[in-house]
Amino acid sequence: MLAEIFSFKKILPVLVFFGLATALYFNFNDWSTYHSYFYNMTTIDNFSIVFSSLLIGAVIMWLLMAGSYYRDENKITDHLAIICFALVGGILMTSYTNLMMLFVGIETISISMYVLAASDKVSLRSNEAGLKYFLMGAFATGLLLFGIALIYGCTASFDLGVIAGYVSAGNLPQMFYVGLILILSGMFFKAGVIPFHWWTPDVYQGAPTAITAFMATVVKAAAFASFFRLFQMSFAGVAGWWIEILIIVSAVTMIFGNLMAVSQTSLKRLFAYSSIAHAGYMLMAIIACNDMGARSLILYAYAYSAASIGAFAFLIILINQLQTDHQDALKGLAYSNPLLAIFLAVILISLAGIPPTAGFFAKYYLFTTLISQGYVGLVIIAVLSSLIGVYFYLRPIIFMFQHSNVETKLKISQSSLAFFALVTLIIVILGFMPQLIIEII
Amino acid sequence: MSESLLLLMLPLASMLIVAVYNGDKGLLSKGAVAASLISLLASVYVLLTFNSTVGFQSVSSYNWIPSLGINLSFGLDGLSILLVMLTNFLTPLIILATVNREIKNQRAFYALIFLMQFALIGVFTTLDAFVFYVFWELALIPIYFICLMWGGKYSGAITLKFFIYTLTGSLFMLTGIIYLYLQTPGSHTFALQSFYTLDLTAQEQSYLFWAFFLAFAIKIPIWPLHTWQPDTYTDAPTAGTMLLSGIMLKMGIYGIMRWMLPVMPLGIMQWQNLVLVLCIIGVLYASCLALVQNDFKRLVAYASMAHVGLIAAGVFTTNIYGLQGATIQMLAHGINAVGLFYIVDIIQSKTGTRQINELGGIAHNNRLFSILFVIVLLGTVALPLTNGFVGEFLLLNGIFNYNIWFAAFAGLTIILGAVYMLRSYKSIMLGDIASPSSKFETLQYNEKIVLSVVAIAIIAMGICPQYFINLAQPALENIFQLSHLHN
Repeated sequence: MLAEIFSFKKILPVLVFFGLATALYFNFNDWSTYHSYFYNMTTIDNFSIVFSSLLIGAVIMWLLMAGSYYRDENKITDHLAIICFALVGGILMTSYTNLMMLFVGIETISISMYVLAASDKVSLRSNEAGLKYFLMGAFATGLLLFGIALIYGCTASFDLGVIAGYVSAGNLPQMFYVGLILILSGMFFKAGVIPFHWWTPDVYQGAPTAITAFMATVVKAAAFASFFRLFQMSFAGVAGWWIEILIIVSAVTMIFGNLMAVSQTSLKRLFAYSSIAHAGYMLMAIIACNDMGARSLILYAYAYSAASIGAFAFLIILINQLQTDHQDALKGLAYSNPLLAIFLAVILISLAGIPPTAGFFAKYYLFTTLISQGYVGLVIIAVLSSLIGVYFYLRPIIFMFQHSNVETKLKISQSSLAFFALVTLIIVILGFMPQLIIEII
Repeated sequence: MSESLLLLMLPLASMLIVAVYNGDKGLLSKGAVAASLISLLASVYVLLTFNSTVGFQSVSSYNWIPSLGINLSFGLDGLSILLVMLTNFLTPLIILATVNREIKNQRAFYALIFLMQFALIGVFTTLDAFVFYVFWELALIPIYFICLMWGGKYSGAITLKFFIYTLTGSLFMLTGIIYLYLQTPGSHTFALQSFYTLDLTAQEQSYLFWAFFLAFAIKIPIWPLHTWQPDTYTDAPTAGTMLLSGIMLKMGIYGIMRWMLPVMPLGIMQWQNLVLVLCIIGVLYASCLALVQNDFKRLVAYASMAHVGLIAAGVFTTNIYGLQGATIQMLAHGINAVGLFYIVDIIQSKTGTRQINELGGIAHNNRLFSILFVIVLLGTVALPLTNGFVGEFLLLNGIFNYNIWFAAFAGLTIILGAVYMLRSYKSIMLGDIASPSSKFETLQYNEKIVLSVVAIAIIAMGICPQYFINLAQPALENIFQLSHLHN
C-alpha cells in the first residue's frame, strides 16, 4: 500500500514531501484496522503504524534538514530515490509477519544504506565507510539468513504466528537454538550493539553527515522495531533463554558506548558512540517484551530520533561552514548565536535524559517498565551509565556557554533556525506530554 | 486558582516577561526586582491567611499523565509555606544585590534566577513524587547555567563536577521513587499520601533509604559527599552562591523531612547512627577547614557546610526538637548565608580581593558596613537574640536527647564557628588599614537595603521565633508521628 505511493518516483523534494505527508495520512487511516497484505506476509497493526509514522516523520524531518546539505549538489535526485526506497524497507521491517518479509525489508534498507554511505565519491573516508558497512553488513545478513533457514528447518514455516505456536508446544531441537542465536547476531548487527558494533563509529564518521543522520534515526528505529516485533511475536515463549543474553549485551553496550564517547573530540564520532549507548537502552525495552515494553521502545525511539536529527542537522551546518567537527569549534557559540546554542543545549539535555525533556521521560518510562518486571540490577547499571552520558553531553554545552576568547560564528538561515525550533518544540512537547505517544497503543 | 498554584506561577510569569523583554537595561533590573517583590507580597498574603492546623491546604490537582498516575498536585502545609516564604524573601534580595554589578547578558541572568525560583517553589509545594523529581532536576538546570556562564575561570570543570555529582544522587532517588510507585496499590500513583500509607519491609526500607539519602546528602551536602561544594561555591557568581547556599540546599533537608522520614521510618532507624556520625564528622571537618582558610568566600562556604551538617543531624534524630530546630535553622541559615556571601561580594568588588590577610581596617572607613557585618556574623555564630541561636539551640537539644556524646561533639561547632568568624572579622575589619581596604568606599543604596533587611530579619527572628515554630508545629508533628508509627 505504501509502496505504491513511492513507486511514482517523485523527483523533487517538494513532491516527495507531499508524498510522505500523504503516506503519513494513509498510514493513520489504517488505525486499528489490522489488515494483512501479501498473503499474510505483512500485517498493519497499531505497533507498526506508530513505528512507520516515526520513520516517515523522520524522513520528512530529514528532508527539511537535508535541503541545506544538498543545496549545491546535483545528486539529490538519486539520493532521494534511494532514501524513499530505504523507507519502504524500513516500513516493511515494522509491519512484517513473515521472516521472508523481514529479510526483504532488511535487505532493502541495507543495500540503500551501502550505496548512500559511499555516495561521497571523492571522499576516501566515505568510500571506506561504504565498503566497511557493506562487508560487515553482508556478513551479518548471511548470519541472519542462515538463522532464518534453521528456524524454517524446525518449524517448516516463515510465519511468525506459526513459529510462536511451535515454540509454545515445547520440546525444541538444538537446531532451533542455533538458528535463534544466528538471528540474534544478525539483529545485533543491524541495531549496532555490542559485540557487533565495530562498524558504527567509522561508518558514521565517514559517511556524508546527512546520511549518518538517516542511519542514526530511521535505520536504527526500523531495526529496533523489527527486533522487538520478532522476539515478542515469535520467541516470547523461550524468553527465559534469550533474555539473559540480551541483559548482558544491553548492559555492556550502554557502558561501553558511553565510556567510549567520553574520550571523543570529534562530535560525529561522539554521536556515533552515543548511538551505540542508546541502542543499549532500547534493548532494555526488548527485554521487557510486553506491551509496556513496546510503549517504552516507541517513546524512546521518538525521543532519540528527534534529538539525533537535530544534533546531526547542527553538525551539517558546522561541517559545511568550518570544515571541522572538533568540539573546540563550539567555543563561545552561545554568545554569537544564542538561539542556536539554546536549541542545541535542549537537544543535548534530552539525549542526556534530564527533565523536562523527551529524553528524560523516555528513560524514566523504560526504567519503570524494567523495574516493574524485577530487573532492578539492570536499571541501576543503566542509571550509572547514563551518568557517564551526562558527562560527555554536557561538554559541548560547556564549550558553547563558557566565555572564551575565540568565538565561533555560524551563519544560520532563518529556515534552519525554524527547523531547530521545531525539533526543540517536539522534544519539549514529548517531555511534557509523553501520553501523546504512550497512550496511543 | 488556588494559592499554591499562584505562588508557583508568579516566578514563571516573571521569567517569561524578563526573557522576552527587549529594552532599557536599567529598567530591566528594576523590573526584575519588582517582579520578585510581587511574588513576595503574594506569599505574605498567603501566609497571613494561612491556617497551620489543617494539614495540606489550598490543594490543587490536575491530571498530567493519568494513565501513569502522575498528577500536578500542589499544596501547602506549615513546613512548605515557610520554605516558600524563604525562597520568595531571598529572591528579591539576591536580585537587588546584583543590580549595580556588571553582568553580561542580563536578560538571561534574571530569567534563569526566576526559573530557579519557580523550580524551588515547585519542589517545596508539590504533593506528587514524580513532579517532585521533575522540579528537583529542573532546579539544577538554571543554577548550572548561572555558574557556568557567569562563574570564574574554571567554571567549566567545576560545574560539570557539581552537575554530575548531584545528578548521580538524583538518579538513585528516581530509582527509589519508581520502586515506591510500583508498590502502590491498584493502577499505581505517585501521590504523597499513598506513599505514606505503604507497607514496606525493613529490608526494602533499608535499600530505599540509601537511594533517597544519596540524593539528599549530596545536595545538602553531608560529609563525605561534599567535595563538589567548596569549589562550586567559590567559583560561582555571588548570586549563584546565594541561591545554592541560601535556598537550594534546603531542598535536601526538606526532601528528608517530607519524603524520607514518613516513608521509610525503619530504614532511618537502621542507619540513623551512621548518618548522625557522618553529619557530625562533617560539621567538625568543615569547621576545622574554615579555620585555616584565607579566601574569605571559601571560609564562608565551609562555614555554611558546617551549619547545614548540624541541620541534617537534627533532622535525622527524628525527635520533635530536632525537627523544630531544623525548620528554624533552615530559615536562619538561608538568611545568614545570603548576608555573608553578599558581604564577601561587597568586599571583593570594592577592594578587589577577598584574601583575608590582604585586608584590614575596613571598619575605619565605613561604620555602617561594620555594624551590619557584626549583626550577620552574630547570627551566624548563634548569639542569643539572633536567629542562629534559636535554631542551633533546638538542634543541639534534639541531638542531646538522642545521644549526649553526639551533642557534645556537635556543640563544638558553636565554639569553632565563633573562632573562625570572629577571627576573620578581626583581620578584615579591624586593625590597621591595609592598602586594598583603603579603596573601600561608602555602600551603595542597594547594598544598604539588602544588608539592612538581612540584619533586621536576623534580629526579628531571634526575638520572636515562636511565630515560626507555631506555624510549622502541626506539620512537624504529623511528620514525627508518621516516622514513629512502626515503633
